[in-house]
Amino acid sequence: MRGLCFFRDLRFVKRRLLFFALPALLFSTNAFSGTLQDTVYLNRDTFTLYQNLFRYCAFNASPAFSRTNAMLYLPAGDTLQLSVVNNDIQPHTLTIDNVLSTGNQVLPGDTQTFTLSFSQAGTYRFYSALSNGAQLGASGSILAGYENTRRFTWNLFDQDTVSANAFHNQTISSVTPAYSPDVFLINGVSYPQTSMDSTTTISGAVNDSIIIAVVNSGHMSHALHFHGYHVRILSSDRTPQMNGWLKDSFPVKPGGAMTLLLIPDKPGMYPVHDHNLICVTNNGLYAGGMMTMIDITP
Amino acid sequence: MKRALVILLLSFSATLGAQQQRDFFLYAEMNGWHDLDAGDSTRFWGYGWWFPHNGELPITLPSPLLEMDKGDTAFIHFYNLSPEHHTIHLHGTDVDEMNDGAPHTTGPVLPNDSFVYMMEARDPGAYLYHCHVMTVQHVAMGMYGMLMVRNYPDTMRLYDNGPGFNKEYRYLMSDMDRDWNDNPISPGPFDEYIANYFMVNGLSSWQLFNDSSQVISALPGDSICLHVGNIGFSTIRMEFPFQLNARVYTSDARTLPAPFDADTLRIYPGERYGVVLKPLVPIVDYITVNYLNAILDLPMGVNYIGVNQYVHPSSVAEPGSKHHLEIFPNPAAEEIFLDCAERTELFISTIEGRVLAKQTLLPGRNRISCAGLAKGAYLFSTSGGRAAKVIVTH
Repeated sequence: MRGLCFFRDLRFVKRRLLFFALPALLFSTNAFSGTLQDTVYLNRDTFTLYQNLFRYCAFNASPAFSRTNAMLYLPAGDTLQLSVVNNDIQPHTLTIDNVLSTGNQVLPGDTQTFTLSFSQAGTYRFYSALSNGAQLGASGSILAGYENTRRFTWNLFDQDTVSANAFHNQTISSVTPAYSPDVFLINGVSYPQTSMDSTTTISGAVNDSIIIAVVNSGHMSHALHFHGYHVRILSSDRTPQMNGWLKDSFPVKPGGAMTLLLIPDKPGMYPVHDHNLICVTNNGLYAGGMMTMIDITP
Repeated sequence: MKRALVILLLSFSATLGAQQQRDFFLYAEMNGWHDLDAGDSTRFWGYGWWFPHNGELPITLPSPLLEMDKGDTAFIHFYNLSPEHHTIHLHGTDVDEMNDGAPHTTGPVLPNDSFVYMMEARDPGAYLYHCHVMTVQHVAMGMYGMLMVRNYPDTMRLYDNGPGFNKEYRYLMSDMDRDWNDNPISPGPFDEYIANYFMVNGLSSWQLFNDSSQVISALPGDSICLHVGNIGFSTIRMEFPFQLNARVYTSDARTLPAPFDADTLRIYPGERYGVVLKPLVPIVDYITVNYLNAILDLPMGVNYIGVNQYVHPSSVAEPGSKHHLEIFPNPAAEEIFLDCAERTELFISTIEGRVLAKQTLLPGRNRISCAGLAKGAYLFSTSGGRAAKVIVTH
């Protein structure tokens, strides 16, 4: 898993070279690894945004807190041994809808290892179902399969500071009618930072097969709109009727996980954003929030 | 007869639309006044037609329909006559970066400047266009319209070898925050938009019934194509009466892997759907358009698209209209009161359309006893073209 991350970063330095080399490397990795091991760290912290203090939890890929949840990639058919280190003072779980929902507690300061296998290729969302962990942001993603494609992840999140405090103090467990989100994040960052972030900006070349794993870790539906291209919805757990549809606008429901296939037919720079336009703001200012870019070379 | 009409229409469009260059002339202004259902009006911004050397027509809400044929090359000549920056984003058409109308990649069109957007009309279906400068405000202020690509040359089908139709309607749903339109200078934080006025093709409540072009004429045997889209901030939930046999074939101008029957259809911001209605029995009813809050998914507003001049009992006809008709209470147990503006004939029939009774209504309040009506649903229709479903509960 670490090796894959390394290649994903390097790609932006020598993108063209790796475009050809990546499939071969993945294939060789695949040939001898049936089980992958990885570790995520449940961290609780705060961050200051727009002069507001936000309470936040995350499943980080490293021991240090960041707003970006781990994005895991797993070859199809492989088994994942995922260790969860709970750095919080509250108990948490590792929950994956339809995969892992019992015997999944991790006590404060404890580490638990879960053996996970995914029968179907696609996107899975893992989250903490205890101590309002997911409501505070502890919600990551696993993309199983599609290892011979260019793979990206968008982890969507929305929050307001009042609700984050109430989730932290456990006075509510879901948003109330007073919910008025002003923070809209993709992989922990908002536009324009998203357009400088190599995990949220989709990069590739014409005719590449690009897989985007989308999870909605927020409290509301987000209606993604692609400029420039229609994308094929390969799977969607909250809107299964849309499997196989070719769309330029579609909802990502709260808690939902979707897998998208983009095969660009032309080069260019195109925005992708939530078409619920209140969500393309930062603290009420346009442009911001849930928007990023697609950058396709000829 | 119907077939002859279809052939006539086909030959008509064949002479008009042969894989051609099509030119549209749009301008933008920020000086519109839109009539609201309560009789007052509010400001809006939008696009309107202009004519080389011949001035321009007023901007409208929604903006003019851009209609073209599959295979056309369209040139949209855009003049910005307003004091602020604007663009035209051709939503869903997958144009290249130069023609995308996203100001952060290609720049805005400055006041008194112009730009020609080019697009190849490829996949038939419904698209949108809207301003992408300060999108959250400019869309809220009304800078949007629908763009249609007809399935040329078989324009009475949704797509090649797809379902045919003999009638076609287009409905663009949207909403506004009255405070923003009343005071566009300082609309407030953009994340605090609250949809409080709800529209179908820019019309609301009784306005939808009074415009006969918005009322669906559905006769048994018809195939009626609806192109529906949502450019608002709400989630749309359409509810179709089961007698319409609504079936969804396309979304975002692409054929679905499998069409599906729908009694309800959700349309999220930016989405479009192609629906075909096939009524087999006479029907006088309405399609409900719910506007759900995007955060809590709760209904915040509702409109009714009439089918064969249906008037929803809770909606009032335009004050002072000669067609004004109110029926109450509904459901009724003992008596039904009908307020109407002029003398008209009332027909009471079963839901299937069999006429049970006929009575003359006089201007003012009329009273009908429920004693002669068994418990159930009835259709009240007038010679003035109004109809309502009335429930008798005794």
